[in-house]
Amino acid sequence: MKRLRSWLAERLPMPAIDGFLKAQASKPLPPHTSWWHTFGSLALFLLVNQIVTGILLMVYYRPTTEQAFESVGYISAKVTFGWLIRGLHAWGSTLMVIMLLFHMIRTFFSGAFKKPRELTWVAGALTLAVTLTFCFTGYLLPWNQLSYWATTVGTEASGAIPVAGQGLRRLLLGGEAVSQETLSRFYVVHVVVLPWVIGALVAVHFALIRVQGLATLERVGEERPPKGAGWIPFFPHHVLKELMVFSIFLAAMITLVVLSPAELGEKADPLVTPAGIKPEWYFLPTYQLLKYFPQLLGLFVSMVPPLLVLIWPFLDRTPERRFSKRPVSVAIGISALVLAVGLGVLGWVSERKLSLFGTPWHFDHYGMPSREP
Amino acid sequence: MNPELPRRTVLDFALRAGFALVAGGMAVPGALYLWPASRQGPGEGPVPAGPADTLTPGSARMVNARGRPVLVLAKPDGGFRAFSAICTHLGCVVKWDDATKTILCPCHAGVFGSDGKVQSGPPPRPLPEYDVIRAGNELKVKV
Repeated sequence: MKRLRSWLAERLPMPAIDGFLKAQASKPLPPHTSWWHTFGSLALFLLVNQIVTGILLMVYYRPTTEQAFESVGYISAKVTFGWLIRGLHAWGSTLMVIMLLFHMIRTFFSGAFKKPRELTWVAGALTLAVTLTFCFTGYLLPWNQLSYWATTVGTEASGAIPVAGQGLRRLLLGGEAVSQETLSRFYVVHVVVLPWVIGALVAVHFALIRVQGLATLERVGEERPPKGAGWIPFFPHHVLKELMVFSIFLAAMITLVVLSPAELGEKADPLVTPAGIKPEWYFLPTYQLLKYFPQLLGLFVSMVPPLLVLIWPFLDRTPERRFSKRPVSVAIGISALVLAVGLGVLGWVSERKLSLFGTPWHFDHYGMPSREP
Repeated sequence: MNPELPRRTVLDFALRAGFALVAGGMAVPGALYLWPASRQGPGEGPVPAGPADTLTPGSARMVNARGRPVLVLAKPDGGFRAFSAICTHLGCVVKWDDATKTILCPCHAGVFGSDGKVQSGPPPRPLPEYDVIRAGNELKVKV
């Protein structure tokens, strides 16, 4: 080890590198840094999980309409620990969306997105958008009935955009309907294009965090310098906390994979649409919102919330960060969460028959209940 | 006046313009490469749609027309009609409902009549209709 170090020292400015690494490791974190601050690290942990398990899945996966479904079945049933790798990838995607949302909610309510950290927020919001694109493109790859028809409905919706809609739809599909061309496109975007995009966004996000440090709870422009009593060293204090969370989280994730394995269902059949096609839970609020408006207006309405999230730091420019001193933005945040959850629940129950307290109910297209005769 | 300055400006402009031209020139084939090369689906000639005598009046049959679903209906008064079985709302495949004599979309509860027109639900347009040809007992659909 010593010989390697002296070999490197003859070729690289080791004192400067050492100093940089030491400064990063010992960087103090604000006194209020808590367990709530581990959501972002958990999202990073899950990104690493997605990359590693994704590479392993690519070893056996075959991106053709004849073999995609069979190869995923082969991974799940025949390959040693294939069920685990596929399960970790499938559950990892859902959990990554959850962790990013929790991280964003924590950042929103603690006012950490405010000046000078607007761009950190924007990079984070774009990371969530790219993660959802990962989910959308990855969902088609098993080539089963659910994935085929969810992709059909999702791509058809883009056709309603005026002027460019039909062209965009054709470009996404690689033709007139979901086919081999669509599978190839989604596969390339999922395994080549998006990993570079998310890598770049995460790099920018982390660089900004390291340069600007974590936000304190003081008003904008009145932040305390990072020294003195109460400040927590990044290493080992916070790193240990994160390692503890990672361990528990990995155990929980493996438990989920065992208790609720990723399903495969039936192979895609372009001539038969199964009943009750629904998107994954994170698209349910948009799916339901689109039902209440005509196609074109619905598209515009559904684009408003993500756009507001993206530019929120430039709209809420009040100096207060503390939860209790920002009643308006906190009320807006809570209302948005309630609305999203409400629409998600309506989307989930719509066009379903459910029995509540022994009474059978039918929920229509709009999620309105009526008693079953 | 510095005689070097305009020359530098011109060179600078030429370099930038050259770069933009090369980048643009490469981007055009790149973008066109991504554009789907050929339209899928309909080829030449009508598609076989099965025997006519097994399609009783008021019933329907799904036909695979070169990978695209087509619904062939036998009218109660004789004769046949054929519609694209792709819902005009979001592309799901519709089904014939024998009990109500309507065409139903399983995705968002769209309902079409036996004439292909929208009766209820979100579909914005009727189902496109195709001509049906009868040659003896053989039905064919012009897609």
